[in-house]
Amino acid sequence: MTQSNTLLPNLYTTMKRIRTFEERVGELFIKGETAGTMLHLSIGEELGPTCLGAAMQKQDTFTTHHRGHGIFIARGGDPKKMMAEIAGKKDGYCKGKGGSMHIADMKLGHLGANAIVGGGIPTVVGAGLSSKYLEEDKVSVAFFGDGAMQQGILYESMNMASLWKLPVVFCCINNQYGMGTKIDNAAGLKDFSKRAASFGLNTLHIDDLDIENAYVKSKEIIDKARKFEPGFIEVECYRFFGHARMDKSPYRSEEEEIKMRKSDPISYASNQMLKNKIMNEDEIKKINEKISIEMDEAMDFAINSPLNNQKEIFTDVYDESEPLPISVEERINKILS
Amino acid sequence: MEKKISLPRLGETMETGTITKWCIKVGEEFSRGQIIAEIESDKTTVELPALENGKLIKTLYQEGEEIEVGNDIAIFETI
Amino acid sequence: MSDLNKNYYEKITFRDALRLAIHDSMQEDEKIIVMGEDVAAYGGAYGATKDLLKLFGPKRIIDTPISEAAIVGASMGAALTGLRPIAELMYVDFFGMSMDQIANQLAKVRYMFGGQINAPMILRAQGGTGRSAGAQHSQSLETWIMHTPGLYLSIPYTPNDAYHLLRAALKINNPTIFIEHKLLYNTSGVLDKNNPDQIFGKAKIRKKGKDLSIISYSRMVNFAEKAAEELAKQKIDVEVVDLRTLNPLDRETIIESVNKTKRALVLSESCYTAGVPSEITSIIFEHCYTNLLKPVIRYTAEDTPAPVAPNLEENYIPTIEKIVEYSKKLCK
Repeated sequence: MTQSNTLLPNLYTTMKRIRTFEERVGELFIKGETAGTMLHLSIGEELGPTCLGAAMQKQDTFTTHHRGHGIFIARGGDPKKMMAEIAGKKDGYCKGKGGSMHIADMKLGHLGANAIVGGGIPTVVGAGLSSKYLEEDKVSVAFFGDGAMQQGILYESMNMASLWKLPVVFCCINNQYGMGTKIDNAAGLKDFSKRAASFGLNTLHIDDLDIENAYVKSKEIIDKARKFEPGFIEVECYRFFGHARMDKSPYRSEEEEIKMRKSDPISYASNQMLKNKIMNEDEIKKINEKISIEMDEAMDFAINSPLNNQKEIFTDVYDESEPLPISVEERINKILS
Repeated sequence: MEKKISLPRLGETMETGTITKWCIKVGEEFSRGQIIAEIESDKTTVELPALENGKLIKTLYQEGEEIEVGNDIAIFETI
Repeated sequence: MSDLNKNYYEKITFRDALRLAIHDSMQEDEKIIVMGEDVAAYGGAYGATKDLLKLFGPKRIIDTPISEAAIVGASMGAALTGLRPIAELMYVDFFGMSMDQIANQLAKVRYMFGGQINAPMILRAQGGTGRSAGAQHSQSLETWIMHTPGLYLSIPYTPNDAYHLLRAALKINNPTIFIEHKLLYNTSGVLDKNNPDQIFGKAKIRKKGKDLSIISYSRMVNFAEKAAEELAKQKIDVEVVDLRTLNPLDRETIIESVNKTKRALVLSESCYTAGVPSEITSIIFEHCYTNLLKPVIRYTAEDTPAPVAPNLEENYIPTIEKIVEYSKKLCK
């Protein structure tokens, strides 16, 4: 189904930007330039963040889980500052203090990435509450994985959103695995929409690669949330690599991996554009090259970004008007003097 | 131009690694991002992507040999 | 590691020592089960239960959903009713998600119910910095547990201690929290199954000395040992005390050591304020007051969350250089 001549190219471009960014994070890791190795790549999972990112409005906010680079790219995150954050450098979004799992940018509505499964979910309930109270017309979306479907906090949050009629959407990016545990071994009931519906939420289940349709349907859910009918969206997808980095996944069969890696939302969108003559191969190639340069520059920016000052250990614990915590060194030297 | 691929440090505690599988053959062309080998470390097995386009000239270790981090594992020609 | 049945290992990793302890205990006692996230198919996030699924099957090595509160609560329920679960939390930072079950249930069931019932389970978790894992994956939360009466707390440093402390915890009728350090898993040492080299609840003097007591536990014992080597070159004779268990805490060894050396440095990765080191410092003050030549120094992590940037993280916790520096100042 073709909506217009610009929708699919835009969605394709965002997905390709996410894919290329994540591939560069992998390269940064191989080069030894990342801060640590807790890097959870969303290669293969681009469809959900892309169509929701496009369906949200400029003022909307969101939280993500540890596999959250994609939605931030879709929402306008600057690849340079993201990459610098992943490299633990001064010019990163969080001064290199948060790293890959804690990227945030209040200005773009990114209320933070969380390393605790389910940790970022109640935040959107609060954001919805304040949006309603302050009459700001903001929808807040929580992004999390299938693993989080088994966290109690999700159900507390869905109930509150439903009870107080908040402009909130809960979006489950279901890649079938919670780290090394297949969804069949984690979920007593795999029909996640049924769970959400039992709390009174509007629900949407996306389980194919038609991103234009996914965009249209997601927009309906988000628009309803804006009118204080909270919603739940599940996007089925597959994590092409392992839980972290490009680790292999011995708990997944080779056959399954080979099959599911062919279910690539980016190839699908590309083929759709060619088939429907929305773009030709050269045009797609040009987009890809431009993105490749953009993400190479982000990688170089991160590598060349300076280290932060040791003083940053002590900043941002409390409000900036408050004194910094006293360093252990200062305390000890005072005792010994 | 001839270039080398070295064994990266794939985890903080990794000192050596083993190539469990070469995913490309000598003479084969590969593109950036394509998986060229599977590397096993003390903790995990990682798929190693190519950092640029190239054509494999020579592999310097066989599958199963223990290799120190930083050692060159293959030579390729840029394309 | 191929041979699980030896009694003596010249060089075994901390991780494999834990695995052996679980394996040997499970062979002896069929009531022992393991439950946690990714403990079965994945073999444990840090490999502590690798291949145990093959040996013991899915009824005894259980992959749970990501539901930390229920993992602890259900393990407790199983412990109350006849099993001996080893529950695993992938990170100590997940204590947050399960704190009611740990502090309000597990720690208190025996007391609240007038001694009718007990919960012989182990809750294993790992913590500490060193992987740039960030504020939510790098904490040292032993203080939360030590401050909760009703819970035993083991925190080993060597593979031999990891093995014997875990085996000991599985034989006592008390819930035990078992905290491992993420950077200790790959360290190696001797394991002698026939020589526990410990009495449960007693600290271990890693190095005898007469000038200064460095009291520590977990990974920081390694830093204390390295600092002691450096200080020996400068003719300062350090005594390194490895506490091994924080509850029961070996107060006698701490007091005896400091009464002998008359100087103390308490070393830990926990934050400075109101942590385990504060408790140890108080004990030393109370019982060694008349002998102390200098105030007790606590050298800990900063009173901030853990930063990701490696150049910040390495200075966020104690460094060997500064341990040496403070020790010299204490001995001046």
